[in-house]
Amino acid sequence: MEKIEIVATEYTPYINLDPESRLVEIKGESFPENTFEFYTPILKWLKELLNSSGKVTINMEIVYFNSSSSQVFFNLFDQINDSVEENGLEAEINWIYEEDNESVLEAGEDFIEEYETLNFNLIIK
Amino acid sequence: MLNDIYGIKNNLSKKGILFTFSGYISQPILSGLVKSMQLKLSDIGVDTKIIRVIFELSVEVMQNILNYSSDTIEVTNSRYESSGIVLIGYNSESKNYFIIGGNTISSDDREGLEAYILDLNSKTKAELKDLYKERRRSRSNNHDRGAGLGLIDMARKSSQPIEYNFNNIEDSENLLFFSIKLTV
Repeated sequence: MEKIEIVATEYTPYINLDPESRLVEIKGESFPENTFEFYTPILKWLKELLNSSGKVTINMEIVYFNSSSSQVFFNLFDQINDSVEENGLEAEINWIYEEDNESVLEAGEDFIEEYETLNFNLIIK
Repeated sequence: MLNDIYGIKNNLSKKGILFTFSGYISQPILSGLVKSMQLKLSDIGVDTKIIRVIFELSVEVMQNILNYSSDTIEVTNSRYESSGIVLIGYNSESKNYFIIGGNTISSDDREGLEAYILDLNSKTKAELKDLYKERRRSRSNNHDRGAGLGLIDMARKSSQPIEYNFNNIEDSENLLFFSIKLTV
């Protein structure tokens, strides 16, 4: 698998997909015009990573995301959750937010409610 | 025409409009508008949390226009420009910020849209949260260009029920002008 790095734009986040450290990093603002199209290669890459063994780390440091991105993040966590439940994969999700960013904190709490068994950490930056 | 410009500008100012755009909305215009608004509101000392909600609602309102306006042009591969209007302002009497969006829709969509908004307005914040999560799980409103979660998100974040209006369009029976107002 190849390492993929995508620079941030005004409305898409920085993406770092590193097969060596088995890390997915999504950082910045996410409100693309065509959210599904933007994230499809990333979800594809992740799917491949989840097929190989070893702990996976997801660092999400999002300042703002739109409702379509929320759907994509859900799909991403869903993929991970399936691998954890079905294949016993070890995964750690770090949801990193600025202290006063209640929207992002609440969104993180919503995800925790969805996936009670996932190792999902809320981390103040 | 030139004679009217001051009147148009003055009317907008009297209604408390701080930012507005009318015409073909594209993703770069949307982004430029919300970013400059964020800076301006921060400069004049508006609370960060309020700015964030205005930002979030403005993006959803404009992306709704982009995705659902009946007057949409595909500029390049999956890049669109959609005709509409967005107004962001402050009501000094109620001391609330507001975001208004407007675009043409097919008359056939009126009934469903109105029923949907009324249903959202009848729900508590907790019920809206549950609905949002349920729709996200089922992906039932997903389409090519979005998750179909925008209106629920707006209802969750607006401090007042969603206000909306339909105007008839001259010389057109098939189209209506739909506008929506959210309050922060």
